[in-house]
Amino acid sequence: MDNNLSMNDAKQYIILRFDSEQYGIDISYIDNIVRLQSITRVPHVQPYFLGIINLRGEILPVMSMRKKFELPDKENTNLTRILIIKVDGNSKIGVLVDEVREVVTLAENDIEKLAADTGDARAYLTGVGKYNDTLISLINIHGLIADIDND
Amino acid sequence: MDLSQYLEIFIDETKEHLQTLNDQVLILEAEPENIDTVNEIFRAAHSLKGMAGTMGFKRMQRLTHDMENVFSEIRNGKLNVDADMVDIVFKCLDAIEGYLSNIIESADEGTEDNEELIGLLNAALEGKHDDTPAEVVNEVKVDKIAVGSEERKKYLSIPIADFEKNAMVEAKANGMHVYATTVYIQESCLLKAARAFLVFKGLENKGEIIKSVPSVQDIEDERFDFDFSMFILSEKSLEEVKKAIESVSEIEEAVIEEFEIPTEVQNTAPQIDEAPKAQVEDSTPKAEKKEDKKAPAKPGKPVVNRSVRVDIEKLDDLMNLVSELIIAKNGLVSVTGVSSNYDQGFNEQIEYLERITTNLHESVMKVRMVPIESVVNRFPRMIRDLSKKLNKDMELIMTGEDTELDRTVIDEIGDPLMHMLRNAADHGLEPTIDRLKIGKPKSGTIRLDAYQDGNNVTIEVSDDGAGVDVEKIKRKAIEKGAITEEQAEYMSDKEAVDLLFQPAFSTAEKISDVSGRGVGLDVVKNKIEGLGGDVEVATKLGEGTTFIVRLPLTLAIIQALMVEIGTEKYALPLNSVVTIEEIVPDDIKYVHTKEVINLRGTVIPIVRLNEVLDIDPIEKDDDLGDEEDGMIAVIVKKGDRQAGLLIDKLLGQQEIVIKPLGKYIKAPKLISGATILGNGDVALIIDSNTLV
Repeated sequence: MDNNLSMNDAKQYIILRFDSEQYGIDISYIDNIVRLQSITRVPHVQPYFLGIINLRGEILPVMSMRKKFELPDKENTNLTRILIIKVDGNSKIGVLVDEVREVVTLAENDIEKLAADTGDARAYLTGVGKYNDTLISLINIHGLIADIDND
Repeated sequence: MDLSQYLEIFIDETKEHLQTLNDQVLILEAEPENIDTVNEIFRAAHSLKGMAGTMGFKRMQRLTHDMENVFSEIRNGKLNVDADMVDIVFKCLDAIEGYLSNIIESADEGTEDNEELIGLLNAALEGKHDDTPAEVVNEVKVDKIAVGSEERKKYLSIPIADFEKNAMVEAKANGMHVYATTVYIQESCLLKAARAFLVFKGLENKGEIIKSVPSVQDIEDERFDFDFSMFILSEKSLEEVKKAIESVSEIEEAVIEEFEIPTEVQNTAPQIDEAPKAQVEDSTPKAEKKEDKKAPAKPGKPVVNRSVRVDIEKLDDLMNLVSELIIAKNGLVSVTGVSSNYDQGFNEQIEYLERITTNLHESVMKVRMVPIESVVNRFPRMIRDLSKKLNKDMELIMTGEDTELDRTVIDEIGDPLMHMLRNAADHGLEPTIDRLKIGKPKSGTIRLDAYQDGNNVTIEVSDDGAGVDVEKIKRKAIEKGAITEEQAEYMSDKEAVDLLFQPAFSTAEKISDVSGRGVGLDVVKNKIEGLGGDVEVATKLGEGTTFIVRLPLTLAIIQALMVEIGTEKYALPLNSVVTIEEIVPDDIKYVHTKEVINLRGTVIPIVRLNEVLDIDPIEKDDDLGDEEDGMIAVIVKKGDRQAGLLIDKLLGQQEIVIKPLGKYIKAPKLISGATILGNGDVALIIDSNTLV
C-alpha cells in the first residue's frame, strides 16, 4: 500500500480495555496519561464524576469511564490510569480507565462507521475498528464531552 | 504605517477622554457659564480629534472635528449652551463610543457616518448668528475673545527677574532680538518631554534660551501640561526662530513675538498698547485666576505620569507565580510540621519565607486593585438620561468612588450595578407627581455608596422611593405559581423580598424599556455570587429600598480555616468565621424542627456539615462516655445572620490559593473552589454564605 495514503487516511488510537471489551480514543485528544493518584471527592456532582485531582498545580475533574458507560464497578489495580483528555483548547478532563494497552494505527477502511443515535452508550461511539481480528469500539470524544456539559 | 501597536493606547486614552467629556458636559449642563469646563471639554474634544486623525479613523475624526468647532464657538462666547445643545453633544459622545466599540472589536471604526449628528452640530453652529443680538452678550463676547487670544500668549504672565531683564536689555543693545514664545504641543502627543527636548535642541544654534517656564528640569520630567514658554535671545529673524520650533513634529503652534521688555519689573502682565485699558484689566485677573486653579493639580502630576500601563494578562501571570510560590511554601511548612528533626534556625527561615510570601501576595494584589471609580463614573450620565427618559426628577449621589477592588471584579461589577441603578430609577422612585402628593422632595435621590468592610467591599445602591410592597410580591409569586398561598402566609418579609431575585420575576405593572422585563435581579444575583459575593435587599414601604452588595477584596488567595469532617479536609474562608465554639450534644435544641444552639443569648441555627456534604460520620466507640462527644461548631456570618457549622477537627489557619474545579464538573454552589494543600492533596473550599 502507498505509504503516503496510509498516513493521510490513518489515525492513531489509544486502546483501553474494560473486561473483555476494547475501546479506542483518537490520540490527538490525549494530553497525558498518569497513574492513579488521590482523588478528592466532590459532593453533589454528576454521579460519574469521582472528584478532582491536582495535576502539577492544575485542578482537573476526573470521571469514571465505567460509571459513565454504566459498566459494573471494579477495584482499582496497578494498571488503572487516568487519561487526561483535552478538548477545545484549554479545558481538560481526567478519565479513569482500567488499563491502557497500546497505540494502534487504523486506516479509514479498517473502520466501520456507526449511525448516530442507536441508543445507550452507542451514541458515544463513532464506529468500530478492526485490528488483528479484534474489534475496537471507537469513542466519540466530542459526543461524550457535549453530553457531560449538558448534564 | 503600522499603527496597531498604538491601538491599545488609543483605546485607553479615547475612553479617558470620553469619560472627561461626559463628566464635564454634565457639569456644563448645570453651569452653562463655567468657562473652565468649556475649556476642559474643548481640550478633550481636540485631543480626540487629533488621536482619531493620527490613527486614520476618518469618520470619528470628522464627528469630533465638528464637535470641537461647536465648543470652540462656545469658548469664544459666540454660542450659548442650552439643553438642546447638551442633548446633541451627548448623542455625539454616544456615537463616538459606538466608533470606539467597533474599533475595540475589529480595529475598524465601522461605516456609520452619523450624518444626522454632524448636521445637527453644524445647524447649532449656523444658528449662532441669529440669536446673538443682545448687546450685553456682545460685550461679553469681546471680552472673552480678548481673554482667548491673550491666553495663548502665556509668556505675558511670567514674572521676569531683574537679572533676566538686564540680560535682555544688554542683548538688545548688542543688536540681538528678544523673543518670547509659548509653544503648544499637540495634546495627542505621547512623548511631550521628548518633543520639548527637540525644540530646545533646535533652538540651540539659533540663539540662547535665557528662561523657560516650567524649568528645563521640569520639562524633562514631563511635569508640564501641553505648553511651555521661553525667552530667547537671538540674532536670527522671528520667522527663522518660529520655523525652528514648528519644524519639530507634533508641535501644534508656537505663539511668538518680539518681546517688549517691561519697564516695571513688578508688573507681571505687561501692557498691550492696542488693547483698550479696561479690557486688559479685565483679562489679567481672569488669567491669573486660571493659573491659581490649575496650580494645586500640578504637584500631583508627576505621580500620575510615573505610572505604567500593564497588560492585565501579565499581572495574571505574576499572580499565578505568586500562587505557585505559596503552594510551594505550604509544602515546606507541612514538611517541617511532620518531622520535628529540624532545628530552630530552619523553622525561623520558614517563618521568614512565610512573611515574605504573604507580603508579596499583598503587593501583587494591590497592583491589581483598581478604584471602582472607573466603573461608576459613567453612572451620573446614565441617571441623567434615565431622568429625561422616564420623566422623573432624580439625582445620583455617589460616595467612596476611591474604594478599590480587584481588576477582575471591577470588570464584572459594572453591569450588575447598572441594573440595580436602573431598577432604582424605574421601579424604586415614584413618578414626580406622586412624590409631590405624599410630600416627598420633588427630586428623587439615588445613592451609590461604596466602602471597605474588613476583607469585603460593600456597595450599597439605595433610593428614597416607594420601597418594596411585600404583599404585592407575594400575590405576584402566587400568581406565577412560584409559591403556594400557604407558603406566602408563613413567609417572613425578608424571604418575600428575596423572591425578587427569582428568575422571571418582575413586579413592574408595565414593562418599560428601562427595566422590568423580568430579566434582571436574578442575573444580578448570579453574577455577584459568581464573583464570590452576595447581595441583599433592605426595604421599607414608602421610604425606599437598599440593595447591599458584598464583594471579596481578592479572588485568588485568601486566609482559610482548615477543618476535617470525617476523613476529608475542607477550607472555610476565614473572613466569614466569627468564632469557634466547643459544644456538647445537649447544647443543641430544637426550634421548628431545626437544630439551634443558644450562644451567649443568640440563637444560632446549626448546620451539620457531614450531612450537607454527604460524608459518612466517623464511627464512634459507644463504650466511651459522653465526655468524648464534644463537638466543634465554627460560627460563620453573612451580613447580620449567623450559623454554626459542625465539624470534627480543626487543622488550623492557612493561606490558600483558590482554584476553579474545572469546566465539566457541576459542583454545587456550596463548593466555591478547591485548593492544593502542602502535601499536594486537594481540599474543597466551602462557601459558608450558602449555608447561613
